[in-house]
Amino acid sequence: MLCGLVIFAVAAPVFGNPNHQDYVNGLTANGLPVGVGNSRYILGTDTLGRSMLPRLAYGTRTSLTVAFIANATSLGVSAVVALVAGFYRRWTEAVLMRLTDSFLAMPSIPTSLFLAAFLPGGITRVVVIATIFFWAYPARVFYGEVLRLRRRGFVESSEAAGAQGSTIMFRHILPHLFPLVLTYAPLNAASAVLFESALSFIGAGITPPTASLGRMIQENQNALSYSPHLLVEPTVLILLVTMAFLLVGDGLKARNPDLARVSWLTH
Amino acid sequence: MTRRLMARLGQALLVVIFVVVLTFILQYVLPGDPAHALVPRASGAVLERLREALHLNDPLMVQFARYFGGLLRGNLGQSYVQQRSVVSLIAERLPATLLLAFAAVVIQTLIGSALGVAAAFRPKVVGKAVTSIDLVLFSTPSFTIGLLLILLFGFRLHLLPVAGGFGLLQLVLPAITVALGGVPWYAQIVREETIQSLSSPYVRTAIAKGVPDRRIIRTHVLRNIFPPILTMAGLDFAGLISGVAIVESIFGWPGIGQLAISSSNSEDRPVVLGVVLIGTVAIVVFNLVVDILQMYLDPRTRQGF
Amino acid sequence: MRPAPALEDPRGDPRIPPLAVEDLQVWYGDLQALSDVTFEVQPGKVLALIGETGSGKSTAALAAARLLPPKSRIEGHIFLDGVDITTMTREEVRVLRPRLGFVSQDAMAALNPVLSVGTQVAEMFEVHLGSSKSEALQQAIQILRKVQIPDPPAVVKLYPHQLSGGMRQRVMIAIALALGPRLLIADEPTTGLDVSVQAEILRLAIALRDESGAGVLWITHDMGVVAELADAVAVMYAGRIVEDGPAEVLFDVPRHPYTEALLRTLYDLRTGSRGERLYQIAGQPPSLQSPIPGCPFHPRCPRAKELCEQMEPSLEAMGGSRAACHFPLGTEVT
Repeated sequence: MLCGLVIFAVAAPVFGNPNHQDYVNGLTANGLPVGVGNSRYILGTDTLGRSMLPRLAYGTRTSLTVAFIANATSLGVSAVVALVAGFYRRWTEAVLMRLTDSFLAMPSIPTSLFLAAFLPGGITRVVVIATIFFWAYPARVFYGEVLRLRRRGFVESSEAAGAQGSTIMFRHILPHLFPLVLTYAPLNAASAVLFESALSFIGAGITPPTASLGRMIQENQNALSYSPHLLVEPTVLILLVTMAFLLVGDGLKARNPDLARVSWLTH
Repeated sequence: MTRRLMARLGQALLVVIFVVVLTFILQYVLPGDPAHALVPRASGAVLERLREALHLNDPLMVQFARYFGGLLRGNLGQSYVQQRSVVSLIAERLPATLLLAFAAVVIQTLIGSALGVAAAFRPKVVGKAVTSIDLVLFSTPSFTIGLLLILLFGFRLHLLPVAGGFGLLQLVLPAITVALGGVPWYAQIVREETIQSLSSPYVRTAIAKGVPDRRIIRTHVLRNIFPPILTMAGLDFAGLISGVAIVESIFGWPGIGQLAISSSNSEDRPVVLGVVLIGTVAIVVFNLVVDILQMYLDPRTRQGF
Repeated sequence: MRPAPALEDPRGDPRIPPLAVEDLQVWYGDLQALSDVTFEVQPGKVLALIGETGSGKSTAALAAARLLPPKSRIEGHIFLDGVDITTMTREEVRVLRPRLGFVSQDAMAALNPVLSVGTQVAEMFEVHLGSSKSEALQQAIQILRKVQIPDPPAVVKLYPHQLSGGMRQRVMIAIALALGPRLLIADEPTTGLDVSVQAEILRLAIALRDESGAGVLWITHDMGVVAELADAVAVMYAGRIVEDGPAEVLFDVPRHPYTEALLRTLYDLRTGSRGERLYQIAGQPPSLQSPIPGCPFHPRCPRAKELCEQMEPSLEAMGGSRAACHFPLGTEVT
């Protein structure tokens, strides 16, 4: 099941290849979007007459892109922070941990709104904001792991071999941290997808005409009562993509049972 | 014990201060001119005078000092759009948000705990079902759930949600929406805590004593999983104060989240900033309270008091 | 105090042993933990089950008390007061629990940390006798007095972590004996306690046994404890009983090499002359995952021969005891 969903998620962009975001009027006589099952537009259209299918595909692609990039950046930052904090102890540690706490304490939605005003819209904005919020929690988790790794004596043995500070950090501890990072990654990605859709929904994320699943729901809000497919379709996709990531995560956890500490504990 | 308390308090303070500094800096580091935002059509000399009036040309430190001083006195600035202080705007709407957050937490705790305990007891059937439900619920964004509920219930039952406003009936749907989002989290944690509890030595002793299962759950298991649940609920509540913004906006629930969103749309930055700060303070405070409460509840550490 | 309802006076029939275990086999998943374990506990007597860690002695005790974790499988028969409880449902067993007192090893873990001591002891009376909270508390105080806990009315308000290890263990014993059971199963109750405290608990156990007439199954790895307490002994190794019999016989004339080794550890400790190393049995007991063919003790046995590798010996009577060995002590080894 996991693999199936992974493949699905990856294949979605394939749909997006026909760049059919044309504004051909697919509206009914009353000017309403077309429903599902129409011969011309399989999944219907939205309020502007655009076909849903390619938009959904592009939207998925957006979500996936954001997920991967934001994931990479946030995990990168958190790993570095965790390593530095765990390694250099004392002041560095204290400061970094307070910093982490501060970021954790910031409420995501209002702050995103706040930040969104300063940044130009688009994927960059989403990725930046996502990174800002998503690095703190894994940093704490990784930090704990770094401490644990320290106790297992890697530091002493490599110091005995004469290695220098940053070398030890990266060469020795990092490889051991890697499995944990990898296990956490899918969960982070899933959260990123949800986050992106939420941001886009409130207007702090992706801007039109780029398709985003969250944005699509927002744009078509008013027509929902007559054309429920406008809500259902993007929702289902968000759902599937997120679930795909989570299931991948579960699969990874099944392989490394001692990493099962990582669970759906965000948000 | 008091030393630990002081340390915790100190930490909390540091965090808040840090956030304040951070947000302040961000205002200036990132592109965007407050004066311009205030009166978009202003330019040239008018803009300059505006900036003077807002003290925007003063050195950063001075501005910060003023800002910070104002904060300490409880002044969060003036709304750009409405002619009122940010504080009054927020104060007006805070109760609504608090109510919503509270209702949501209560609902999700009850449902989540029930599911968690049930899953722990019958891992094969109920457990798998709960896991699947959890997965789906977690993967669905809250605004989607909200909109779906509006579609379903708005047109069937009398629970007209988008009448907006502040009433018990209007509370139902938004509260359920938020709660559903949080259920998977609770269900999972409660389930794990319960399983841990069930396999702990003292439960085995209770079984050896011949205590009936019902009573074991009631007296032994529940009491031991209560503190973690309380912790979660407390922290969740704090987070929800800011987190329900989107739901508030969908349902027209007059809380500070909705305020933040509408202010953001009208570029009314001080208000948004105010909400950010309030949200942060809430989270930090609750973290602190919960920590202290935990220390108190566990009889093992109670003696320090 | 209300009399125990619906429990026939167990001391009525001394012919029925409080506990009888026949051909007991226990599996944890695919791993076999116990094979063909058979023993009996007589009323008013102590049967000590001795073995190293991993010998299966705790498993035997838990199995007898129907306290094994859900993933385990049992075959064979367990008779509590003559009643076959092997296949009973948990609820059916629960009703019979007043007849079986169980004392576990680590009292700190075995007691609920967030409930007061009094509550936990009183629970016995509330559940089985239907006493009210206040009645039960009084009954709890009485039983605590019996296990020689000083100032019971004060102790009932305390929490487990506020008591010393010895006191906690006494509380456990009090809970186990609260309803006057005919059988007491004690799983290494003195392990982890100070030596002096151990001695106290042992004395308490002896006194209580004499007074109550209950049969006791005492699990331990310490031969010294066995020497003080036991009327009958069963030696366990790798999930099997390798020797059993009356205590005097075993101590005087051990048959199985393992028993003799255990006894040597005891005597060396006792006589311990300076400069001589304490006797330790070489090697490790087998793990569940890798069972040893033939006699499980043969890799560590000084008397082992080819036959021991090939064929597993069964318990046979020899003299006053039974032993499972091809070349028991007292016979010629060529």
